[in-house]
Amino acid sequence: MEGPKVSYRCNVRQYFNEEMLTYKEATTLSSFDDALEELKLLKENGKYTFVLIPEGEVVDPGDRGYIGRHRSAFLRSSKDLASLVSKISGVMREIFAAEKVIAKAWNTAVGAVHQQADKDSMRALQSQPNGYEITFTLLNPQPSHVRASWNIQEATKRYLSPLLSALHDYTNIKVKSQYLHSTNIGVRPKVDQVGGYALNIDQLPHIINPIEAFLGSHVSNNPNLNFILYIPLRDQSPLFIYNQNGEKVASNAFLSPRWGGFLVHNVRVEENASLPVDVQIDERPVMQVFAAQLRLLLGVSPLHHGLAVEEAPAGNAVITDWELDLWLRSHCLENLASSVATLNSLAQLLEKIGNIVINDDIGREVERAVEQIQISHTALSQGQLRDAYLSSRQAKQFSEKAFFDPSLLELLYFPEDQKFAIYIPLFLPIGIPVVMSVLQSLKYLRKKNKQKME
Amino acid sequence: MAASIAIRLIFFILLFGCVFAFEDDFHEELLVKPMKNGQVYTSFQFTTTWNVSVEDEKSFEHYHLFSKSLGEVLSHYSVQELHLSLTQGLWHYEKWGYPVHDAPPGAELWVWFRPGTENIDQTWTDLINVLSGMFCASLNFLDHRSVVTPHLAFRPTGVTPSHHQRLFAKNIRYATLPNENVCTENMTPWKKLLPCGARAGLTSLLNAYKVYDTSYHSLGVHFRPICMSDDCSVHGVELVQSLAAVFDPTLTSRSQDWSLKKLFARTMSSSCPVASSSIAMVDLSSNFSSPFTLDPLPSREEIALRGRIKVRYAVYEIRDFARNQRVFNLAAKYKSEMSFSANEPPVVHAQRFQTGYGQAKGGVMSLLYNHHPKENIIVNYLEVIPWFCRVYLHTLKIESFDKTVHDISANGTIRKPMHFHYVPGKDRQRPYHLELLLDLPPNSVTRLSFEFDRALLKWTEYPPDANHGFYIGSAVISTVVRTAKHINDTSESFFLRLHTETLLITLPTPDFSMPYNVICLACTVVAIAFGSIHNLTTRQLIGGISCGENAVLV
Repeated sequence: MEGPKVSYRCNVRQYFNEEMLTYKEATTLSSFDDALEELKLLKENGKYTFVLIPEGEVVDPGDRGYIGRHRSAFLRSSKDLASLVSKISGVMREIFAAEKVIAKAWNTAVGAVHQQADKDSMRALQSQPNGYEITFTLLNPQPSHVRASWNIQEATKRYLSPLLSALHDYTNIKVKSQYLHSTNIGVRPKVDQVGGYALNIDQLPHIINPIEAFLGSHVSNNPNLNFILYIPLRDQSPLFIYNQNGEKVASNAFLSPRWGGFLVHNVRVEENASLPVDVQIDERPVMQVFAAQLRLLLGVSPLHHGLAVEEAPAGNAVITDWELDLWLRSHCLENLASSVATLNSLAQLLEKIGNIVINDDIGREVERAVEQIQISHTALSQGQLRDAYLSSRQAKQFSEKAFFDPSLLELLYFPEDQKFAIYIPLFLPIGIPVVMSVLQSLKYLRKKNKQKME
Repeated sequence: MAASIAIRLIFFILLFGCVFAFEDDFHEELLVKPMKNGQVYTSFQFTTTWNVSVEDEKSFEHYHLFSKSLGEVLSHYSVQELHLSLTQGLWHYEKWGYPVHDAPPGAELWVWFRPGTENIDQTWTDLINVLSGMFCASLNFLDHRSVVTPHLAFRPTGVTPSHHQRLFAKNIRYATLPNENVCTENMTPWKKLLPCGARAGLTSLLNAYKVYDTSYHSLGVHFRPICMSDDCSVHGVELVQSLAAVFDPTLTSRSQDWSLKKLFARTMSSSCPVASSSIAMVDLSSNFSSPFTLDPLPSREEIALRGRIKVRYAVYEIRDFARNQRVFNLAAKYKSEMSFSANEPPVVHAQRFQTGYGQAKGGVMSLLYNHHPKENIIVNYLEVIPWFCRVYLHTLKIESFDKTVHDISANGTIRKPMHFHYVPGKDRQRPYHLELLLDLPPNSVTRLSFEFDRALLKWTEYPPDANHGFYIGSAVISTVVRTAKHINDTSESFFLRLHTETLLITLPTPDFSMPYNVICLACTVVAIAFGSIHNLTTRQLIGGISCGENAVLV
């Protein structure tokens, strides 16, 4: 199955005067990038600018080129047009449009091509039209020793709100937090060589089982992403997570695909300290780890491209504008693909089970889904990313609603075998004389044939 | 009419819990009450308070001690107040007095929704489905066929938004499920709501094998908004989780002695570290009739005034025991091996029976006792009868007798209810809802009776094991009394709610195998007819003379 077709339109222009002014004021590339963004001349999903800067200026993108936080890339202009064009098309195809990523998102969602499971596609949650729940949990198994507290409300506001506001128009993310006391992880750490305790990679899958029961939500069907900050037991600290090569993990955290993140926070309790010890958790390093994990879980993965280009870090925003575009594009395709697949399987189901009843509501949902798919297709081909994503989201919602309608479920269980059970008292006594007389007549005919032969 | 308004005001009495302005707080408490008949009543109470306003949905996002899973549900379904109880067994008022939290057999749920909640019926439906998943109980059967909006019986127990009072009156829903079986699968999720879980503190005593081996046990979840400051300018919420069990130590051994180890087969070595207070109390009021000594000695003794009656409590600070690394095993040793005495019945209690015979008609009779020697007691009587018992209101009879009269079939003084609220039921849509405000004269028994017709259900409406019968939920009696041996109230008069027995009635039940029998019989007849006609039409009949082999019938 071939992936989606990507087409590009491009035009070339001179700088505008305002752009030149900001350029003259700028001292670094990133400040120039931000200033250009503020001009709002380029601010549109799915449109990118390549800024060519002559060699020897104050603001120098270098030989490798520089990709800004927003929707522009900065390259050093050169006489060698061929290499410049190949660089531009490379950045465009492999980074901004990320054709491979999109094709993979499409193929995975369609389910037509059996794909070898790889880390990137397994890690992120599938596109959820309704939204996500994010739960931060402070897991303190020994509240009698450590009285830990965190200002999670403030921390999520400071470190996550840029991401949430960037995604606000597209998906609904709710952030919640809780403390869990006296609940512990499911494994016993081993002693490592340097006087600490170790969680090896093969133990990690068992950690979350006992706490899982406290994490779900009863009010929402949206997938829940859990971020757990774990304070180890006093006689098991300091606790470190080791990777498959037997090395300490620098962040002391691990990520569980499609589930969430887990971070160990070691607390030093002095031998003769009066218990419980008050611990105020510094949110900054914690949230940095969680934000990085959240990016991966939401599907903003690093691109594996072979280009030698410098990328501006997302920094506080957690997600850059072009990454947001990429997210929208791949999720839009994923929505469309899974919506089509859902409608297809509904059709297959109908063919298979003849006596299933589709009421008008379901029919209407299917019609709406198809309509939204068409709208999304047109919007995509015109490059209107935002509209395309929003209608693809609706298409997915409608198609799922149609497929999971409870009235279908009721009629799926239509017991054919019981009909036979009811008729057996009739068929059996009637069948016996009929079969007997058929046998008799066969015997008679055979005998008659024999007589003729003689 | 004026009297009825005055009575209504009494029911508006709010029980305020005043707590100072902390972020949140958790208290655990165990009350042990040895009863005169040798049984031991244990009542656990876990209280979480949190200074957030129930109306502020934003604050229900970040949780500390309050359970996140429950908090989300309460805020999502705009719950103002929620009271859920899951009980197995019947509380015997005459023998045991009044419990801390009264509960009928089975499940009972009543919820006040916040003012301005749109479509309360739908919200209720969603809420019961969520709660039934949360507590592993069949609460999802509390649908429109069993739910009522009580008029007077259930008033808010917490702070109410006063400016919405009129709008508010319709925002309550009440329903019971008398046939619910309560067991460990309900206690496990209940424990999960506690900040210490089942690992530390008083919860570590809760051994399901022992708790569910008792003659009465009851789980409760009570959520209400409360005042957090003296002038009630700051509002907060309170979650009380209660568990009560009545043990009978004399069943297993020949002595009346009891200890926590004997009752729960567990001891406690720590208090819950996040609890602000951790207390065990023993009610010493039965110490006079059957004297016992306590081991270890209590941290202190307290005397509390319970409606003009002094009650002595031995109080244990569990934290002191935990700090000294001692195992806390509270034990009582009795001086004599067995010494029982009868309990005097409490001021108000009630009994309810089923009357009538046959499968067409039936009736319900309740006896309401007022044992007070001098004072009249005004009670509110709430009866919710399922739709399949078609109540005839004209048969409602209220008569009162002197307590000494034993023959209650005689005619007594006819009483008129002071207030009367009746919502007739509708088939398959809503139950019959009867609320009466009655004035019980001193030293009297009041007999209340009415009759009903039993409906014939559609064949799909019968539950599995339909011959077991159908339950009618407990009647609820709410009143304000001045004196009684009650447990958690020090005021002069206090609010009291009792539940009567549930009733098990049989409805005309068809023989469910009949359709298949009919099919079999009809098919057999058809088959016999077919067989003979088939034989007659397909076989050649040659009569008379034997002609060797050709004579065979073909």
